[in-house]
Amino acid sequence: MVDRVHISDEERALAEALREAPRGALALAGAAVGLLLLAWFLIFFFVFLPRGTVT
Amino acid sequence: MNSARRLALANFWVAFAAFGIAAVLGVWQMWARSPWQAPLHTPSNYFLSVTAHGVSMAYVLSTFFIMGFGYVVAETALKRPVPGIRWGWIAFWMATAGVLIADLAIFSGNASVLYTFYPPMTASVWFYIGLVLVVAGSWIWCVQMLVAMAQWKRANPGQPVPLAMFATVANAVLWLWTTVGVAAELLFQIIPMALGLVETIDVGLSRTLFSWTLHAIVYFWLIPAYIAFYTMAPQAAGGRLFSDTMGRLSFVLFLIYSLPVGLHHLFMDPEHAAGFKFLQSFLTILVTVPTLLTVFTISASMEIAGRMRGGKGWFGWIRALPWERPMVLATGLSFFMLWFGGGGGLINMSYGMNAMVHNTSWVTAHFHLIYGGTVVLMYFAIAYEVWPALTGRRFASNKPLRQQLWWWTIGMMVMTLPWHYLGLEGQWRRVAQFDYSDPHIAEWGPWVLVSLAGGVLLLLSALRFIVNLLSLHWRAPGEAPPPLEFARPAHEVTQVPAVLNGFSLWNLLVLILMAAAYGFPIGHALVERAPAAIVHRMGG
Amino acid sequence: MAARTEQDVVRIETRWALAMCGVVLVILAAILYASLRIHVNPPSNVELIDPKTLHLSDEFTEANLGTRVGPDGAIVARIVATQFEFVPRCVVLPAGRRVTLRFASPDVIHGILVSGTNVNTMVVPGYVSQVHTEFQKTGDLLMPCHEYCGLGHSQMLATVRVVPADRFKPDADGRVSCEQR
Repeated sequence: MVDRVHISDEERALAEALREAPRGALALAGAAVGLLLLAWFLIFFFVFLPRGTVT
Repeated sequence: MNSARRLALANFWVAFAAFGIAAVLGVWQMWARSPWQAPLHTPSNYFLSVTAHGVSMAYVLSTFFIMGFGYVVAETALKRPVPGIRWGWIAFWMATAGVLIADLAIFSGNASVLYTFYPPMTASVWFYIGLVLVVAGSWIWCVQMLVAMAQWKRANPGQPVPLAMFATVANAVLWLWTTVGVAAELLFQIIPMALGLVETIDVGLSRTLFSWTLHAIVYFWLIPAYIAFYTMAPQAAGGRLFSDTMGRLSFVLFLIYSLPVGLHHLFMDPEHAAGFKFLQSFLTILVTVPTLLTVFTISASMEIAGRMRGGKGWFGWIRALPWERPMVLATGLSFFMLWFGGGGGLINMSYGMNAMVHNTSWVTAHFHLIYGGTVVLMYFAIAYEVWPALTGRRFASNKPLRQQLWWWTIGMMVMTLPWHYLGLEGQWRRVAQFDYSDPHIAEWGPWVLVSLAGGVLLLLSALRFIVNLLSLHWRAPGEAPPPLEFARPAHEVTQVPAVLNGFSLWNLLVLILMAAAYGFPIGHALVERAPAAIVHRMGG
Repeated sequence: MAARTEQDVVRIETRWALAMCGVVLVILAAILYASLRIHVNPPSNVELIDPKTLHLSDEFTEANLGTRVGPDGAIVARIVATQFEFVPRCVVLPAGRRVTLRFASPDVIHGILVSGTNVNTMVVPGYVSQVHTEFQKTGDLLMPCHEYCGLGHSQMLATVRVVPADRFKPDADGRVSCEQR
């Protein structure tokens, strides 16, 4: 139980940040991974598969 | 940070000296491959250069940097002297002697077998002996790291090992497992061949043993960069690590999944069939998970820092970050390159899809971008972060550091993007000279020149990096630099589960996974001896 | 959202981890689809052969190299990869038909790719490398040696001449060569 009077500015800023986090990270990392998956599928369908079957 | 200070600096300087020379060789190689006439251009010089460049970048820069950084982490995170400093110096001198011996063999033209060896082509035995000395030295370092952590745990029972050290020791454990493959290949096959004790070699077995090392080694290289992501970047940004637990989990996942996947370097090989190729492909898919976890955890950590600095909304925290700090800038640039380099890796590992890229320039582009880009950029940032503590001087300005990091990133992107494209167009690897009179190959010319331009920028960046570090050695002492500090987690960690504070369980899992993934491929080769190939000596 | 406590953090991280497992499973599914439905697979034929006596073998003796249609109708191109040439330097294959390429090396590691296709394999002394495929497009395709095999590696190239099926005319022995045209 932290004594409110002694919370530093830094701790207050951290608590504020933790209220919002990690929605920004979800947006950024989510977009990055989503784009990665898209790029993988584009290469899969438009470069790889058209080059023919091999076994 | 005293007793290991000189030892760390010694290791770092061997790493960076090799790096500088290799960067010059790299540009010459790109020039030689281009439509423009390069001086001293013969196949003999080309493959000598490729061997020297590969050995320097893949074995010397990496191993010595990792040893140096390990000493810094051990002393700083554990707040106690590194154990066995005398052994550390023995390791350093042994490894350095190994580099010199191997280099002598390479530069005398007797070891043009590339850093991946390619038996039955055989170099002078001194090449292999030199590399064995480097590995043996690194094993001593591994033991030091293990002992340091064990001593700390005894002195701090029940306490969580600081994440930076936990990850460093995970890397040491990984390295010990990793080197088994190449050590076996060298000890039982290649060195007897190089000494003339045998005249034939089972090439399939040799490639399989080497593959054991070949993938895991890239995680050995990568983990220090990730240590910086988890323990240095959030601190530099003024924030907190989002989750210490996820950090530990990521590092142990790397430990168990980077080893049983080497066969994905042999997808196109005839000595293994679909079954084990697919199994190792599946395991490779699993090793992507710790990276996917890391990108989120580190983004969240940086988000905390950005929001603490007033950033708002979905993306405002990004702009609010202290980008003028080299470690913060490097993390952003590294993650940018990770998207491309990691994405390329996803394609390489996708089983049948490997046929689209195997042994084309795509592969060369991939590993230059992911290792040379994502990982080595963080090596620079780590060096910038620890150099003040190591030299007792502060940098006068961060501007030359930031510029060097930008040049490296731009140079790497400009060099590797056209290379990826040319790989898909069918440009193949390890070519000393392309016949540009062939119209099909002539189309590639302009792109090769673009890559060359990227390479030149990289060389300028490499030289700038070395000058930046030297500048601290040359400065007069002034105000003492602040001590090195690692990031704190967002929520204090007083206790972690034993499995995330030690490696017994993970060593057992490695053993089980390696038995499952490599047991048959290696065992089968030993039982059903394939007809051996005749030794081809490349030098005296 | 919000990460006020360590439990919050663990919960969010777990959800992300599950999402990432989902992502990799999607890629795995696509890989399985390509393998099992479209039939694009890495080489899987494990077959031993002695590199030291390759030229004396029934299959890879010089007279038997190149393209041959067997009595069973199978179209097979046999090529030896050696320092620093392919023998033969050019093979003819028909488009639109299942064909097989078989490689062996008497000396060091080589490798091939056929430009514009998924035909790609290492050639390792001690083993026969085999790839089945069906060429769609006609033309002269570049087949370089793509693995370092020594100082002459850069000049080691071959051609795969893909001709329309009706212009693929084997002789009495079932053989087709580039010189015939």
